[in-house]
Amino acid sequence: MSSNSFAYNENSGGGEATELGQDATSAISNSGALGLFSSDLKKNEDLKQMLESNKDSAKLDAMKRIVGMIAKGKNASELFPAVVKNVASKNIEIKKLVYVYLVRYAEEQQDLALLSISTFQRALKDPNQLIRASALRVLSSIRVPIIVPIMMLAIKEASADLSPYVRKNAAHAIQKLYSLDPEQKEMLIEVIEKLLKDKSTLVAGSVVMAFEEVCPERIDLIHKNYRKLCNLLVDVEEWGQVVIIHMLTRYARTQFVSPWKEDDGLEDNEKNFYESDEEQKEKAEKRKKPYTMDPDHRLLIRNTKPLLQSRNAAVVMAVAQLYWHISPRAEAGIISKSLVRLLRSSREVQYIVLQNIATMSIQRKGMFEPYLKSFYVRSTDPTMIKTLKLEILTNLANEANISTLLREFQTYVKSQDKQFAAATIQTIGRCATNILEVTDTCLNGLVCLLSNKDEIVVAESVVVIKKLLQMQPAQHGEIIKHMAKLLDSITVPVARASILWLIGENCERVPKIAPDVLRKMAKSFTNEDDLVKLQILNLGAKLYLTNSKQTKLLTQYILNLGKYDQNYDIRDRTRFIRQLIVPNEKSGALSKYAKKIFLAQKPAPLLESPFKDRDHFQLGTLSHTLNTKATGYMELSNWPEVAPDPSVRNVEVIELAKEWTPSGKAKKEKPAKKFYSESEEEEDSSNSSSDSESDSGSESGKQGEEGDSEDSSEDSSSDSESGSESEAENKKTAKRNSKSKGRGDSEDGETENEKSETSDSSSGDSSSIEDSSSESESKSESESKSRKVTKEKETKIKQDRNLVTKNVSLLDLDDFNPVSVPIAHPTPALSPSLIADLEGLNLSTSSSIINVSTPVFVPMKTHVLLHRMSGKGLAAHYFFPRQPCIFGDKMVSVQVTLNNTTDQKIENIHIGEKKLPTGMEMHVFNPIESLEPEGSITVSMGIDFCDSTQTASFQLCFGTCRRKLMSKIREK
Amino acid sequence: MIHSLFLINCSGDIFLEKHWKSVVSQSVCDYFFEAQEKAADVENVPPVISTPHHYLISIYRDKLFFVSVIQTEVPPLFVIEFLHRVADTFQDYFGECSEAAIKDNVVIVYELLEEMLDNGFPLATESNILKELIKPPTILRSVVNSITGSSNVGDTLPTGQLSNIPWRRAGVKYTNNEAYFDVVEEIDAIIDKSGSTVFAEIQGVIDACIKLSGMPDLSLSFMNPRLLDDVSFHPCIRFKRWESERVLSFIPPDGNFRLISYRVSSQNLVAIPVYVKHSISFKENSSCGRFDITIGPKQNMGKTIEGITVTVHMPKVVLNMNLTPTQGSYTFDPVTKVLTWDVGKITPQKLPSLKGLVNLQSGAPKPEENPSLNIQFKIQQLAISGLKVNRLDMYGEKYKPFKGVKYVTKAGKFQVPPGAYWYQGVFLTQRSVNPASVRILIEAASASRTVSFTDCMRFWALWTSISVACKGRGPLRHSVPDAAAPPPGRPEPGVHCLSLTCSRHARTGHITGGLAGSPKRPRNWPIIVHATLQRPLVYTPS
Repeated sequence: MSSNSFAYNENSGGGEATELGQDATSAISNSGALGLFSSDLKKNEDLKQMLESNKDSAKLDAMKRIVGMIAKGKNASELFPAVVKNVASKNIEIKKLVYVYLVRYAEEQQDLALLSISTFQRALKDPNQLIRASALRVLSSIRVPIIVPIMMLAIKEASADLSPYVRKNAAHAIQKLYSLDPEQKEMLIEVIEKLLKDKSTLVAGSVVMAFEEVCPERIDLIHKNYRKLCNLLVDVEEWGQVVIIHMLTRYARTQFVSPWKEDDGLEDNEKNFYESDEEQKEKAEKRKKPYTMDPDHRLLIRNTKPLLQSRNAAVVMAVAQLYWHISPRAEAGIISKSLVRLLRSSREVQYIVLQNIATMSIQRKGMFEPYLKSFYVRSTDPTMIKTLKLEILTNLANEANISTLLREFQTYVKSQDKQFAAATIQTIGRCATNILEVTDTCLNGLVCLLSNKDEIVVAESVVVIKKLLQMQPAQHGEIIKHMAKLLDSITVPVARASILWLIGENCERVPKIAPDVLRKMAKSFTNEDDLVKLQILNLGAKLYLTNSKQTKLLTQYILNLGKYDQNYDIRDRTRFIRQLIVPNEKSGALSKYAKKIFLAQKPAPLLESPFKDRDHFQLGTLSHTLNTKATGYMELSNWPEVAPDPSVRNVEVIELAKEWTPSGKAKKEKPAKKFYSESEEEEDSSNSSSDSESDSGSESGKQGEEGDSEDSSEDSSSDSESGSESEAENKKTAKRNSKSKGRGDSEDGETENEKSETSDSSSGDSSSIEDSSSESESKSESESKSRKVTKEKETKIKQDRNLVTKNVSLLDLDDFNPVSVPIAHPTPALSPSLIADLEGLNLSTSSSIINVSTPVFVPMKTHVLLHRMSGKGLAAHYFFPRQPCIFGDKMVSVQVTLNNTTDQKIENIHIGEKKLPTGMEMHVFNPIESLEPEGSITVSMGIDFCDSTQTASFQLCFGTCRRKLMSKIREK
Repeated sequence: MIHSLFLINCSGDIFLEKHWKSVVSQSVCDYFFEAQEKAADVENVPPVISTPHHYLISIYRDKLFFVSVIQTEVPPLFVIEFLHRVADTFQDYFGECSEAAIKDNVVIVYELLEEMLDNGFPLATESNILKELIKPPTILRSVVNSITGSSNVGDTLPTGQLSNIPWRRAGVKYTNNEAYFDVVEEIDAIIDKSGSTVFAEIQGVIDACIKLSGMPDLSLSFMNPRLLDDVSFHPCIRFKRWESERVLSFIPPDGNFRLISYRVSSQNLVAIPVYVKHSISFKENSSCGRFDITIGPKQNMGKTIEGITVTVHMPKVVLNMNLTPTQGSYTFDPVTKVLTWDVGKITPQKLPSLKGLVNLQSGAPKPEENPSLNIQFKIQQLAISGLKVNRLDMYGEKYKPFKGVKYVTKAGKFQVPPGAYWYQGVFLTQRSVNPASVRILIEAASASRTVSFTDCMRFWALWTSISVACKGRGPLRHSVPDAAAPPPGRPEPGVHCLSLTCSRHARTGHITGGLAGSPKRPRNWPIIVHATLQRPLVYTPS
């Protein structure tokens, strides 16, 4: 370290030569016996001599010392002639080090650099591919404009080299040449075009990089290579994958139509199996131009999916942004798991990933809600990570989880990291405004914080309370009085200013206190911060207007003080206020309206997420991280209205063509081959009515099948689009009818397994059979299945009943929660316990008392209540929060999350007829008036299961035409 | 993409720079230093900094900053991930990634950086390939080189670079063919002040050390692959095989590498192997306080928990601590205020504890909160998630390799936030129990000097753990079948713990406890009963 600081001194004082000497000595610290200053020039001479000697070892030694100098950032350009001579050295290590030197200094000594060119030209023809490649690398790196033609020639030759490694280097050289001489663009594009056709995975990443740098607008070059790139993607090295995925995202946004709205429309149509056939026909006719995902679009989405499991965070993020920007909404959900996984890596990775999640979570809460706990803050996290996590938690907060979150926030407020504690308080404020149910609770909690010992905490609470009170013009006289008292103790300017503003704004509500506050502030005016002074002036003005009898003199005193203040803002404000409120001959028409001006209803501030405006940047980009457009950022274009001609991507080669999915299948949610996918879907929807314990199991099964489908699709030739389209639909109706028979009865895990087994086995046979035949088979099969199901169901139910009667006596449900409201409105019922939560916020009284009612670790496993397919777009999931139920002490609380996956509002969702076994009770949720498209809402219900395993069946009704769906919840 | 790289040490010296395009002046780092100053501590330096002409993307590793200069739009993670890969490579080559190591090997560092990036785009980042291009330094080789003048640089293109398996070099030869796998699992947990698990998940990795000749094609299968919730793979693994069969099939790189890392999410139940109880109390108007930590095993699956270290970040006002550990040794750093207690192994006979006095700055206000704890531990031969390797098969080569699998469980980010650990006077279960009666029973008891309670439970449970603790004298007894034996009570008054882990077969059990209070026992000493039932349970008080 001492030598380092020494070097700095040298830098400032000495000339170049001294610096050099210093470097040389520090580079060879062992031989540093020589004096520092005397031997400076000699040292370089020494190096020169060594370079000119005949011994390779001396040359190598010299080169190593020179590289050491370069690494330090010291100038070694003087040695250029001596070094360049060795470019033709036989010793490969010397050669490499000379290359390092050349690349560094050639730009500065262009004439001399030309001496080396002939060596490179010779090396370009070397039989060893490593030498060819490195010659090309150095030749293209030396940035000497004169050799542009030579470089161009070398690149052209190398792009046709037999070795893919050399071709890869050629791709890199393209970018270098382009930055050296942009006029070569046209020629370079030709080379890029040629290299894009390259089938080697080694080249793919580099050439796409070159494409992005040189001619990103020439999207037409990609058409013919699109499918190849998609198919090669998995085998390309990881860095190349990132570049290719980003490029393909852009490509997809220009070449395919949006899968978003239309996709949902399609689902909506599929769901109408309860309607009569006629109705359905009508609908089908209406839908003249259905959305079908371009098979190429599907290909991209499918082929990138395995990369979510890459070890490279950049690849995972790239795939995530691809899914976010181009996949159908319903499929984007799979990325959340992988992104959450990245949160285990280094803090830098966490930082970027959390930023992206923050942006995503604003738009689609549901995606990350299951991972809420992964965003809990650890005390060891750096502050920037903590604040980002807090941001995400706020975005994810909803009525259902707010109580848990507030409890969590309560711990954060106590954090030793005060910056973070302050951020938490702001967060509580935001939750309070976003979720109306907890506004009062939060406000109470924040008021408790006012008596905190830590000033920063208090100040932040004051500011937040101010905002909250402004939003709720209700009577909060008590809080304001309390805050007025704080003025004596609190010193943080923002907080003082906030309190003064609040008092001024509400001066008519606290008529006794306000003038007194003004009196105190007049006394301390000169010592206040500018921010506070301005608010004192404001307060004075407002009081003058409302209560001039008491405060006239005081205000005038303050105005006088302000008149001679050092800060011109304050002098300005003083002058302005005086003119406006104090009537004199000069004051114009405005002073009449002074009261209206000062005491106008101010709009409440919007507490918004700082990530709100980031969504227009492509995720995962530098611009997104910085929230400004970085140089070279390319906007994602909007989806085209009409898809450009898809045939441009056709390639003559037949092997490739086989790899696309047949078009009919592609539009489905999960791409899979004919019969297989059907049976899967069936399994899926039957999952929704009963609840299978093997959630993860069935999912992984699906993945497996998907993997297969890729292989199998090679065998199957593609169908014509329209044909398979309608076929698929017929299939579905048939299925649906058969399924609806079975649905009336409760389905059960066992039978379901049986079902899927049978269908599995048959799928094995049918995969090779023609489309149509396999359909009919599946139809008949599912019918027979449903019959079987009904029978088994009946017996099951009987058994269940017997069990119940036995169990009831054993079960004794009681709860330790004191809240025992038998039936209550969900919203107010939430608050009592919440108040208890937030009371803990008060630090001075904090003790072990609050420890009592905290939830035990709960497995957050959700179960499907209603699958979106069977619910015509309404999907419902439920889970047991394992918290004391607010509806009654015998009830188990169940939280149901409803999702609208259609593109229309779903109205009037409520619970209809209930079929409960004896003894069971159920507290339903309040009817939901409407659910926006893409919206989701979480409601809580209470069910008294009598501690049995019986199911609670009920009708979930929604829509105008009273669609009813039988749903069941069973305790787990 | 990446324009330049600067390596900066902790004291702000730029000790290495490398440019892949034209030279960028060192002064660009001033923006970085500015940000560093603003950030107060190194952890908070923003990874991405915007300057008028460049963007700086940096990572902090091993007390060094790797600052890269970027000129145009690039995915930040791309750069971050690459910089970490550079640091990994240094680690791999020099054994450590430190300023000294880099300075000593500056030529190799330069050669490496030259190979890893070309024009700012990654060229070769696989360690197997790099090692063929540039030989790692060894003492022997450097001696030989200095005598013979031979070089560190390979002159043939690594074979891997050309094939579809760029991670493996050709012509590997070993006399002993071995393949070792280490299954290492870390438990990340936040345990809240009431002792319940706020968050728990298991993060696991399988690190492999493969020394096999030729081109072996391995496939590794698990007994229970469905446990793996989310997996990320080394590029050598064939995705399709995993998706269809849940088998890891791969041609391994040579040497050490990370095969997969996975997550077992909190949706599966995570057994927490230890519990900690800690308290800190300060007397009014005095500059001293009492401090007390006890640690004990919870669900250890019958294995010893070793290497336990407890780290406590004490409040700033603490001057020093005077403690006595019953086991292990402790250090307190008065500058950073970090208390480290190296506990070692837990033997259930005697629970390790650390108690004593805390001295505060005189006149300073009492700290508001209890400090939070971080715990480290290790359990050998156990993967806490239950993951088991089924078999390893090798194809493509004729010899018989030696195979081995090792399991280790460690604490990852295992954290106990401030506050008391136990419920007081509440028999708490997850739900559906009848807690009221127990509570009454115990509250009544805690007022008296002698406590006894007997209750019968019927479990529907899978895993259940019950702990009973009290301050007082006398042994605790229980009669839960299949449960671990309770520790014998200690003769002196103190904390008695009874921890039971019932196996899944235990359908019913009794919990019996009796505590004879010492005559001196104050009335307000709490009796604490804590039970965590992972599954609903039907409970009938007798």
